[in-house]
Amino acid sequence: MKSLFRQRSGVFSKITTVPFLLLVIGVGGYSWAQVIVMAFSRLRIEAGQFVWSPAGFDNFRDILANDVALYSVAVTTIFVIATVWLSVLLGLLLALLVQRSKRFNRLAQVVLLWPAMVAPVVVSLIWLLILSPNIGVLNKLLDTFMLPTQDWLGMEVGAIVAIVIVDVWHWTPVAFLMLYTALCAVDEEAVEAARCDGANEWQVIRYVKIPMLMPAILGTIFIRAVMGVKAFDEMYLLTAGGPNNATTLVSLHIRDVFFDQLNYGYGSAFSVLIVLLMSLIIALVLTVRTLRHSRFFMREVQE
Amino acid sequence: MTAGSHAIKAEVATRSKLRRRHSLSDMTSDAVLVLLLLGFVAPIVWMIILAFQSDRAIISMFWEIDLTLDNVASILSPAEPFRAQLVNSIIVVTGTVVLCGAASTLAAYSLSKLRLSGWLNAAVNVSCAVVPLLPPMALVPGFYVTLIQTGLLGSLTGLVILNTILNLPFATLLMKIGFDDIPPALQEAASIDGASEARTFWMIMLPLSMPSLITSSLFTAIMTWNEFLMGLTMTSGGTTSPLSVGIASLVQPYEVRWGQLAAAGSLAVVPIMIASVVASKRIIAGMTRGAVK
Amino acid sequence: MASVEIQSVKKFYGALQALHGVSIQIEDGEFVTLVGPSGCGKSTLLRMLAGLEEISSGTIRIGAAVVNDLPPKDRDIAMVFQNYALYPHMTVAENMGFALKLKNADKGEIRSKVERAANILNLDKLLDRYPRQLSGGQRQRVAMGRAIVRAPKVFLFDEPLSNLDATLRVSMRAEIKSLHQRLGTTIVYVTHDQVEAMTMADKIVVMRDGIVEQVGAPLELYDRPSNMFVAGFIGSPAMNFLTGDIRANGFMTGTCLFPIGENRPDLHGRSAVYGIRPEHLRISEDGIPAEVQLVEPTGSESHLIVKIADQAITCVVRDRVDVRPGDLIRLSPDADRVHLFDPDGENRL
Repeated sequence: MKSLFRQRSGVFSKITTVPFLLLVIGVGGYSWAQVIVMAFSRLRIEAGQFVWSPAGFDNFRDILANDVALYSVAVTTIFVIATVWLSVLLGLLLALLVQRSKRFNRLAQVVLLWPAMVAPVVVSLIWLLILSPNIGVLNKLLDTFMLPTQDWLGMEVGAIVAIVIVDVWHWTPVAFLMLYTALCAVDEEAVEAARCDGANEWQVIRYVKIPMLMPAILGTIFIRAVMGVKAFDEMYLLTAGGPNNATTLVSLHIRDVFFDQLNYGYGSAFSVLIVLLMSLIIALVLTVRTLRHSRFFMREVQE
Repeated sequence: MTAGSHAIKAEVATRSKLRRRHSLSDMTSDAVLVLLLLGFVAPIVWMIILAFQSDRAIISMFWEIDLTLDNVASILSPAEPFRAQLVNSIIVVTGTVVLCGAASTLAAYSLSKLRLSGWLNAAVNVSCAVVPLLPPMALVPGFYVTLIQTGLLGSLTGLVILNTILNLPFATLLMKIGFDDIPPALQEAASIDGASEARTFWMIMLPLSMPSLITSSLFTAIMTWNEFLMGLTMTSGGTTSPLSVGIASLVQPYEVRWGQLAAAGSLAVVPIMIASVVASKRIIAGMTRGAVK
Repeated sequence: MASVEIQSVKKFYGALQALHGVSIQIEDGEFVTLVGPSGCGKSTLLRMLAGLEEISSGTIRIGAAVVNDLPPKDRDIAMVFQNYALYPHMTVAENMGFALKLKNADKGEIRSKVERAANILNLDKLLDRYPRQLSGGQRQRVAMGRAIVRAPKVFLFDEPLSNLDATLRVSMRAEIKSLHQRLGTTIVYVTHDQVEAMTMADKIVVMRDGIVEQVGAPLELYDRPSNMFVAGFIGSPAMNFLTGDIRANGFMTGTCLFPIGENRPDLHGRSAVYGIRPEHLRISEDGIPAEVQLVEPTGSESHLIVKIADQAITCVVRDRVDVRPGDLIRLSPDADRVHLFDPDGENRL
């Protein structure tokens, strides 16, 4: 029986949430309010002080007229789609392999934590040491095998492929861990029943394990997509958005306009737009999910 | 492609002998796994190797080995800001772990075990769900202005507060899951034994939630140690910035000291690699439990 | 020690009513069990006594004081929980002494009280262990020790034996009963197991759907159940019920006539439910013909499931009988132990 007991609320229960709310709603919410106000203002710095003046929708109009801004949304979309699919597929493959393996099971779980735990800044260092045209080990390897060397980060396509690979390398372990945990939770009896029904290893994976993993896979896709939109650190150091803005993710664009061009209103407006766009997509995903659930439910009821 | 070939082999093996362990396909899948693992580890190992290579050997087009401690030594020399940045990072990490630990434990306890008014409950729950979805970069302009207004821009206190805000939702979620696992009968037993709300928390619930608190603190510590964006945008660089920003500043447009770069990166990575070996179970549990919710 | 008085207590969870005005008088030093199927409100009532649930209406007195608005700690009660609720991070001694420690009792006093309680419960050697190092039965005893140490006015037990295996349950049953005889403290004990209730209690409260069905001593409930629910709930195997009509010469169901001990002319001609316990039926030459459907030997006795007038009836026989399914036997009810019920209200006639 679930207990309905909750202690009579005294002073203690009233103050428990105070620090949380003060920090997240107080400081966080206040800061976000500042972003919204700035988005509708023109800001200049005079004698070290901000001077605010109302700007209406000017900042938003500027965004729509700015090729780099629109381009950054496109680049981010491509980046998110590519990294999500690659890291989820690779994570799923790793999860299946690690679960099968008796010898490397423990080792793999520890080793695969490393890329995810390493600071993003260091991740970009690690990959600079590999991709650098001068001292990078990739070119060194190519040279050893008499193949032509390239300035990988200096080419547009090369730079995009590079940031995708780096991100997949960095965050696949997270996808792996989530899928591996879900895989371990799959009812072993269902797998054994399938084997008794004559399913081979591939059929077990295809028709039993993956369908049962579906909720975990969808959850991983969602989390990885959010991480993709958030990405900043690695690309800031690796390509800084270049060459020719080929790798300008939205977060790189915000930093650039806010801190380098000192265009505060525009940067804030772009932040607001990105958050709105994200909320819209998340709301859409949730609606579709709820609709599908209810339709599924209806079908079950009819049967 | 690897998945396909592996599967075909597995199929052949299953057919050939029913319940016998298909050793051939096991070996194939292990081989694929080892190759993948190498792909994930090799880049890190390569950086650590370069940390002990002389600049001459690094630049050379040939595979030279010229081991030296110069890179590490020069990074740690008093002339470099590295030491000050290391101290900054330690201060920020400690402050964030303490502040975030206290705030998340209290909030999670009241969410899980106390009767809260509806809107308080909703406020905490909604922030826990929304904040992790926001790109930190979108919040940077607001944080920047707030810190200027409060005079905390460029200070370690400011960084502690921002890191705490970014980590609080996840930490609270982890702690709430931990508190949910403690049977409510213990709270009832304590109230019959005569303990007040605060004493029940302090003497029963806090000791019992220690494992979750350690896990969530470990997470907060790693996230804060790795944090770069706030350090970059809210400090003025040099000796005022945390370690992550210091490492990034070694990448200069023109003359890059590759050996020092690798040495600094290795110094930042090794503690975390050790932590993940020692506490891998905790980290995995924290990552997956928090994410599933 | 104190008496407990529960007066027309009601409990609402939103629109749902869990208790519909319950009144029970518990004397000082009495061992009372609240028994009933799950969801009958017995645990809710106990938790209201403890102060863990708010009372929607009505009053509860412990001793002379109304405790409705007192927090648990001011009610001077101790509770033994179903899952024991021992503090995992405290030793046995710390668990038992926690309430005294909260009252800022002197260390030596705590030690001596804990040791005395441990002695009563044979926990002397376990005082420095942690709950996880104890067996189920030992944890159960620690939970009781924690209650004893406080010397409360009333002990509350919430299904304390339901997590123990069958053998341990029987021995703990005896242990709790002898503890009650030794301490003489009022006990309110919740269980869903009627055997537990029958063997331990001075007084049993049978509850169903938030209503008290009957209050009485164990044998009183067995001998004179006031309605069909109590009749069926108390006793194992359960009482048989047959539907039919009361005639001048007995009870008619189908073509079979069952004897009724006491002649009740006022009931002649009305339809009724005839209740007879399986142990009050015996095989005899001049009985009512019955077809054996199933034989369940338990060793000491056998349960026969037979068919009379198309109704299934259980019968307990102590002697070994050589019958098989399909055999015809004759059964005689003990006419003095027949219960008659109203088929509509299900109450005793």
